[in-house]
Amino acid sequence: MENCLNHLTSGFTVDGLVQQLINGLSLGSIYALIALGYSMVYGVLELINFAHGDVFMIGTFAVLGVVQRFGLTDQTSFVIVVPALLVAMIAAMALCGALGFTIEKIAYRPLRNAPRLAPLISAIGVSFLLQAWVATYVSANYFTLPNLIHGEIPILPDVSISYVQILMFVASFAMMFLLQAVVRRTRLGRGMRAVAQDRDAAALMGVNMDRVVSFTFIIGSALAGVAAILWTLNYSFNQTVGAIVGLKAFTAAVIGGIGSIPGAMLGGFLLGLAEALGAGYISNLTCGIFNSSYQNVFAFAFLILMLVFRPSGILREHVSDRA
Amino acid sequence: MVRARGLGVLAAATLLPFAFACGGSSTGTTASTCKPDSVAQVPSTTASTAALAYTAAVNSLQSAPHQATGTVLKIGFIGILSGQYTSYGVDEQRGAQLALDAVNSAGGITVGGNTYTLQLDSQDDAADPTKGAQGATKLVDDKVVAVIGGTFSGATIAESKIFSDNGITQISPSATNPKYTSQGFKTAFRVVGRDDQQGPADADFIVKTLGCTKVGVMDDKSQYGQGLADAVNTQVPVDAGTVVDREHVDTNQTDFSAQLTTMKGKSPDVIFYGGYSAQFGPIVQQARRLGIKATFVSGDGSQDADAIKLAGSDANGLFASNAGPAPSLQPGYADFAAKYKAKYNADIFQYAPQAFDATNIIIEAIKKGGADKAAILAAVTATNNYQGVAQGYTFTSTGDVKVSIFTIYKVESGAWKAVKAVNLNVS
Repeated sequence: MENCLNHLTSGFTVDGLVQQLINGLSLGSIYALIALGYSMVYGVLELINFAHGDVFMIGTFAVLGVVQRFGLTDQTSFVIVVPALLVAMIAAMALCGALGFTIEKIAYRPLRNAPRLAPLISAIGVSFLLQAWVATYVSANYFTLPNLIHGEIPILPDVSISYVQILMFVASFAMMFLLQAVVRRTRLGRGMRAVAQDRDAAALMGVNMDRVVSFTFIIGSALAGVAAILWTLNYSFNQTVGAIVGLKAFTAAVIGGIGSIPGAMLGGFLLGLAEALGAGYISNLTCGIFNSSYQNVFAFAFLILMLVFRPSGILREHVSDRA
Repeated sequence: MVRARGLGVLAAATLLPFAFACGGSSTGTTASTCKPDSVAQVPSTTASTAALAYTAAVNSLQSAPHQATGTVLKIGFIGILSGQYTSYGVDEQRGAQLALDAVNSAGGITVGGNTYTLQLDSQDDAADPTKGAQGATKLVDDKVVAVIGGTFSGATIAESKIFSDNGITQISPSATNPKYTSQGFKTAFRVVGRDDQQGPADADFIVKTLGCTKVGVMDDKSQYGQGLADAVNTQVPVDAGTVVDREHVDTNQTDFSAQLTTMKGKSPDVIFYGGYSAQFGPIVQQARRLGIKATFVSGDGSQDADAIKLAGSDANGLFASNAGPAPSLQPGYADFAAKYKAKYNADIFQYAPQAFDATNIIIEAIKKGGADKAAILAAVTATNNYQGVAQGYTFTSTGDVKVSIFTIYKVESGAWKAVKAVNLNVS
């Protein structure tokens, strides 16, 4: 028992807690960006696009390609890094958007009136195809980018928040507001909401269904491209990164309420925090019985609890319900 | 019977001139003895005594390809030929192939009135136990007489059962997990040391050589990584150091900030990582971004070019141990490397010398006892002080090498440099 009390306080510092919160929020903002893509597609088509994570993965390799082409290193000055990263972001967004568009056209559109299991299986097939293609023709190795963006803002004596992490929050919130504006205020967004509410009625009212679906895929995939550049600035990646990160983002979408844009964001941040705090303090809380290797368990335990107690998620938008 | 801890360590030789007196700047650590920057480079030419010991095998590599005739004898190779660790497997396959080329270009092996030409039958295990078992079964079906491989421990252990059941001699050039040779299989051999020797050697290096007593231990939960980290974890307190934190990650994890933040809270002087370079490099990079100044030490899974590439500008100052002598201390390395380069137009990646030696041990066995797999097993078991490219080999009753040599490397100006050699004799 005494041993257990030791465990409870062992290594616990306020600095550590703040650092874990920052870690969780930065990871969460990437989950959130990817979750937006899952959520939008589900909202419009009621399809879980399991290839979405792999579109994100292709985005990370696009960023790598641009960074290598520019020959960026730790020493490269800001004047070159910033435009190069903008180019990388545009390249990743364009490539991911084009890929999302193509995947929808080839793998989902022909199955739109098939039983619901068919497009799901098709999505898993596309996911495997993209992973195998990268492993075979690009590389099966892990990659990291050099430290391109230096600098940090100290908040506590031993804790600071890096510019990269600030960029993650800012970018994900900016994207969310942009997306909300598109959905709420544009003609295209009205079409999306219409298709989500009732496909057939929307078609009768003259909404071009195919166009709306294509745009939904392009926008969702482009957001995955933004997530890709943020990911590469801080974490490592290989051809399987999309499978794991994608699954977490999907979990985030479900937690927040799949179909809901603010829900996807909320789910992403909650999941990131749950993982960081869980992995950071599980050992303290369980007297050392469990250890930090249970990090992934938290994400999925969270998902199971959510599905049991609130299957529609925290912020499920009832508008897109089709009973 | 299986020696977990009671290895008779007869000699631990240190080959470097340490300059501990205030060398290097202490990177923010409080312990005054902990000065990882002061470790210098191992002398590069101390191998002259052993230089004449390597066999004619290397010399006979002179490519004079006359067409060999006679019965074709299949030697199996199993290892990582696909996936992210392909470089390891291909390197070993090349080492084995060079040994066979030498025999074939000399007209094959003539024993008991038969002349044999050797052919390499390669199977991919992709570092995966299931694929390893499939590959091993294929080799059995192909009627190979002996096998070189596999590359990583997990798959090698899965394969060893199948080879044991079929009485086929297996020599792994690189599997270091103790379990491989602890299962009671008479057919399982390896030409490198074990992780329950490597781990203590790493712990000794951290605590005694670097003088760092506060150690954080991390692993990737793989058979190899966790085994090695456990061994370090056990030995650090024996050396009067303290394990301040123990963390685990996954082999497919890419964000390590949660584990590293906990680690940071316990302020270790040194962090030991048991696992592969694909995680080690990014862990180091992310640790530095979190402001962790501790010195990183890892094992043979991380002592490769990928670790340096992935850690980027944070690579300098990393340490990692590896099984086998440093290239500069391998008696036949220079010659072998030249032959390797001539055939493949590439540099040796890691374990090609060991694979070459393992293959030659099998070839010697065939020369002695013929092409029957039982005779090969008997002859390999009796191997006594065979002088290969990397070192001399005598097998213990379990199939381990009698003299295990480990080398500790440090990254300096973007390349691994040997800084310490550890020789362990198993009695």
